[in-house]
Amino acid sequence: MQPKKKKRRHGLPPEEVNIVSLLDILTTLLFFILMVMSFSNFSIMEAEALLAGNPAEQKKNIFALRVIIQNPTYATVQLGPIEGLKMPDPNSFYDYLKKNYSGNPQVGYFKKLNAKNNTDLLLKIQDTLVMIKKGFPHEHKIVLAFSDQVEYQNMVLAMNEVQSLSENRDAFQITTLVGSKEKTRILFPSVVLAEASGGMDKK
Amino acid sequence: MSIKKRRKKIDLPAGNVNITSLLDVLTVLLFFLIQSMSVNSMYLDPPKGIRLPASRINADAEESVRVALSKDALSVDGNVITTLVNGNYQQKDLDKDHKTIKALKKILENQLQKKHAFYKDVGDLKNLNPDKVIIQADKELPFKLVKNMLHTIVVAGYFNYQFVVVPENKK
Repeated sequence: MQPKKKKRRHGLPPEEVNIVSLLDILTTLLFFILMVMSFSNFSIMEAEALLAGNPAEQKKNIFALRVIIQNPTYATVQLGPIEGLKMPDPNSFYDYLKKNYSGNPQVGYFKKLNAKNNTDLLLKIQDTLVMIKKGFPHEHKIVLAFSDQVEYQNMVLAMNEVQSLSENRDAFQITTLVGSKEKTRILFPSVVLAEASGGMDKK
Repeated sequence: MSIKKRRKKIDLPAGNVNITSLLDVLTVLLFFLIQSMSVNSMYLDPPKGIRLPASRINADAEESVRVALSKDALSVDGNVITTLVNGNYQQKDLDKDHKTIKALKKILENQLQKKHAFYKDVGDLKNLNPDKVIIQADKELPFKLVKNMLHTIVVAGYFNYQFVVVPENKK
């Protein structure tokens, strides 16, 4: 066994680091932050305004989806003319529309939703939107309209539900326009707000 | 001349208060606060009387003008501009269309003009982010009241809304 080497002790005097001023600064900073910071946790939901006006005459149809919430138990879903719009699987989507909506591809489709309460109504709206999203996986915009008596809290909840599925719901499969399959929770994240009787008039 | 009283010196033993552990706690707390503090330091606390709606969406706000609507008053950046009577806007506060809130429109138009005037000198206005308004409204208000505010915001030239919400578990 090798004998242990003895470490040499430096004959330096013990040093004291003066951190008093550093601690002063840290304590001042702490109280400053405590004063300034907000302890509430806020978040933001974004939406656009629907501008009313006379739509320009367009030869081509554009995707137009509108959900009108009249009260906590009743809403309507309107899908504009879809003739000529790109869809990954038009036949099965037309079949779905034929069974569940009134209307036709030239004038658009319409569906009434009745529910027991607001939660049930939002679930039914979401289920409807999942089917429409499967038909138009590349579309992101939805017009959400409310009647006068709808509470602000319910308006915010409706905005949530049309944008994406909540965590307790399973993601659904979509087939993109190029034919690839993918799972998603996103529905229509770009929400445009309106009132049930029209848009937010600019003029 | 008054006679100065001599203070008696009390011979107390020199006390050593050990604040090391206190400083440890404070320092840890400081770094925790710095870390958890949002980078976006915008002040979003709602005015008194507003209970914000709950939402599962989680996003940060962009700096902008704050419009708050409670059951009693409408305020901009913390200053009350109109009061509501019996849960309704007063007719004198509304424009001829019965939708536009005159005072709100004026303030928002001024804000927008100032912003555009400032950025006009710096660069192209087209490169600016769309003008947004931060909205704080009481969760129990009917859409009837909220829509007047939303309508006025659009009339004033802002076409995007940012609704302040609280996380769902904080309801």
